[in-house]
Amino acid sequence: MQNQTTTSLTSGAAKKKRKRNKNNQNNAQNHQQNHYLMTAYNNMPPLPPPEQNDVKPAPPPETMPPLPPLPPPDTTVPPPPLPVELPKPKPLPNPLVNPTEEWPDSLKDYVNRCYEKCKTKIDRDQVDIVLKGKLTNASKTGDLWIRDWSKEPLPSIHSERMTLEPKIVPGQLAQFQNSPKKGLSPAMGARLGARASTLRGRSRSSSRSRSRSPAYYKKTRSHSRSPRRRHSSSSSSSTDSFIPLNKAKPKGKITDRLGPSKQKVSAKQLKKQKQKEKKANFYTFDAVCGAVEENSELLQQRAARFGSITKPSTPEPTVVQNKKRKTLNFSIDKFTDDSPGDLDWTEFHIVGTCQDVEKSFLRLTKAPAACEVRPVQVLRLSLQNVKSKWLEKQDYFYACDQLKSIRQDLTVQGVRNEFTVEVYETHARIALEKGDHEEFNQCQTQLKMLYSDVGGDHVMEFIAYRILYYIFTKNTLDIMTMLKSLALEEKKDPCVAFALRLRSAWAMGNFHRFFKLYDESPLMAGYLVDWFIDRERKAYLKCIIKSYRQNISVNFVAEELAFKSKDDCLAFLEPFGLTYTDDQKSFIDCKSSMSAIPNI
Amino acid sequence: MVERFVTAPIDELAVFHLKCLYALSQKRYNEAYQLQSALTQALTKIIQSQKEENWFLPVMYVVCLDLRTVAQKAESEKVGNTEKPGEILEKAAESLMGCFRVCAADNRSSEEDTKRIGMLNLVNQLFKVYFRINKLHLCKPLIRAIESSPFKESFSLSQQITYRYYVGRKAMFDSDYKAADQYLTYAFENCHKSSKRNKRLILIYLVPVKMLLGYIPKREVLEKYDVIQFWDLVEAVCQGNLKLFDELMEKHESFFIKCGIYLIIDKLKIIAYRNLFRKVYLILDKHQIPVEALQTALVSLGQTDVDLDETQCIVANLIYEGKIKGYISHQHRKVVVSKQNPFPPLTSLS
Repeated sequence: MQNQTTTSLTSGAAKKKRKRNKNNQNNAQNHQQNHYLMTAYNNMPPLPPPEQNDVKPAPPPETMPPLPPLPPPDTTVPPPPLPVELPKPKPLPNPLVNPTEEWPDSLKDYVNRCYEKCKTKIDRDQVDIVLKGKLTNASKTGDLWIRDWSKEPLPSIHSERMTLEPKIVPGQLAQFQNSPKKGLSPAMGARLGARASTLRGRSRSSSRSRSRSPAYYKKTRSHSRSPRRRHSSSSSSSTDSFIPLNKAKPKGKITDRLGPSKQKVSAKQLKKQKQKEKKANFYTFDAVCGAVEENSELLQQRAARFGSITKPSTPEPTVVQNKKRKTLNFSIDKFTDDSPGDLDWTEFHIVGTCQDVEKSFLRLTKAPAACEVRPVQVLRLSLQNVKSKWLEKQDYFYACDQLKSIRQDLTVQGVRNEFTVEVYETHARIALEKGDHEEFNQCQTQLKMLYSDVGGDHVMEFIAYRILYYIFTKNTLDIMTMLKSLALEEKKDPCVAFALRLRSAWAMGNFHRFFKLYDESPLMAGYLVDWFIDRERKAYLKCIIKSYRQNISVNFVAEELAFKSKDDCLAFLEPFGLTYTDDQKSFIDCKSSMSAIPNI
Repeated sequence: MVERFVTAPIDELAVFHLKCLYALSQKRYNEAYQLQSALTQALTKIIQSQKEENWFLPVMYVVCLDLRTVAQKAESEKVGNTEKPGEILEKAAESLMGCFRVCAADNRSSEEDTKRIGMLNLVNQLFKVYFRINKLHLCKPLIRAIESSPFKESFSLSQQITYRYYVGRKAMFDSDYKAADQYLTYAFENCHKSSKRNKRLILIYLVPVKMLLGYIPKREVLEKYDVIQFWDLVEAVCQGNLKLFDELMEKHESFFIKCGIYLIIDKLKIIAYRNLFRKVYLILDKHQIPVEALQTALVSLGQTDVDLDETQCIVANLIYEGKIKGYISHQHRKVVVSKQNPFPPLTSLS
């Protein structure tokens, strides 16, 4: 607790600094910086990263009073309400400014009234900006001591749905207003949409009886699976229905690394509305610096949210705060100097305390709190739960959601061991079976790194899948790279050897062998081949029609194209408008069907 | 020190260069790369500020060449695998791109003074990086920039050869063999005859491409350029000797893979099939060839697991590609070949 408080205090201080920084930028825009000021700036403790790279942060003119107006401990006014934060106005001990210079009481009172009005985070941000503008102006014009602050109109705030002051930078405000929603609704929508389609897909494909036995998850390599059975047109349709699930996901490097997480209400945190903002408090402020280091406005904002996490009560002695701030500044410097890639996230990993076995996935826009992250021992149960539910119900939406959330918790905690491998393998297999290309790919990417870091028993299996995936994407260059990287022994692994033989048959146009191999696919390779089997079927069909005369039996075609029955084959041939010699459609008239080749 | 001899802003270049050399001599390659990178940045600024003049280009060439080689060195000396492979090279490519953009954007200067003439040199440096880190897709915009450049013909010949070599290789990977042939042939024919090593490098790609298009290299050429490994292959393909072909593939596998030509050599097997079937046709001397006869030929050459249907499939594919004129009668298990020119020369195929 103590730690937390100090941390957040620091964050509060940092926030101030940042704000002043923002303010300074305004100044920089307003008046020419002279050399004298620049020198003064150099003597100051380093500032947090500027919001924009190209704008040089300028110091406040010396005539300006310390910006955050009130000394914290002696505040007689009640602390600002809902959004728990340090009593906003708090002077930063600034060596440059005369510390004895105080603000008029009316001004202090005014500032307090402004903050009291705030109900939400957005309000506070707005008030921050407005006040900053007013104070800067006032101090510039020397108005500060003259103006009757008690008569000054309070700034309009978001909650009152009033129009904003023109002084405010519109872009920034827009962002403040939008950001809380951004994280949630589109993802939600996508999720719901995905669920709907999942259900549809499932109901249609439910006829494909699940030949996979639970034994699979005990890593039985020699389970019996008849690939032909799985073939029906529903296969592709259900596949398609999963694609939207992934499309809507926002991508971001940092968020990816941090992993997304669910917004969850914990018992400790009472204020409902502010849940999201307050959650971030587990990370040390160093983590925040890490986030800031990219300098993007969004990250700045996220970092700003980290500041608003203190309990309203115990204000810390300024000394501590001061000290803290120094270390903080130091780390900021470090991060800005280093290239972003050098940041070692492992320093910031947390250990979760959440005990829920089931947890839904939600992409985060900031660091999660420990109470909503599950530790590994819980995650093991979770994985077990997902596996058994999957075998029971085959609900891909549920499984994907749960697995993503497990993955996220692992990422956030920096857990990279054989359990992590198992989670990714499980997800990859399920995604593979359901034809969820994107999830599969994500898992494969992670697995590649995990295998090189911690190893695993199924390296070969997933290498084989990767080769097959390159066939799917026709990426001969990556196949080449893969071939380069494979050792002779690895090529002898049955699964990898299968993939290589399939590749050879595919490249050679030896369709017969290709489809024969497909029928013998080991493990789950057949599912991956399913992704491009129809493409190859079409190619072979074209080839057959062009090279056979006078006609060719549909039974032969069905056999060659690895269909389990003539009817399945006919269903596949249906849309191409081929010509048959008889009403039973037992023979294709190849010559007459030549005209249909463009349809294939 | 430097300031006394060199004026700003070039003094910066000199300082970075010396520092880089020192780091190299100390075998601190990563540091050397960082310094060289800073040098490139400084240079980019200088060339950007120089309007209507391009005398600085040769300096840029050297700096960029150094940057790439130092980056390669740093990459290979990288300790542990904590960082992603190719990371340094990727960053180097970014710096090179910075120079490239400056050059490409210089469209105000007159023809003699334009910096756009320096584009090809940079593009070639970038190619070298991209081929190394397997990011061939990044080459596409560069190729477009060069192809649409009004100075396309005025770049120096050596640069044009390098450029064509890489574009040809890329075309090969993209299975565009006609284009690959065109580019690589230009490179080979224009490459100076004393540059044997370069000519050999070009041939490694040109030979398989040519063979796939039906052109067989002369033994003397292969001997002259020390790529005699291809000769056995040429014989195997010409004779339709699948057994020899398979053996060679196994024997030279690592060489082929290393050069990145394994997959294209693999495809030559199709040509070998065609030549084998042609021999069977010539021996039988009739237009209706039993599939069994073809299968027997395949089995006798080590393709023991091939059955009738697979034989038919191989033939079907050859017919589909136009390498055999004729059709298959599945009912009679016969391949009926055209009376006229049943095996058209591969070079006649489009």
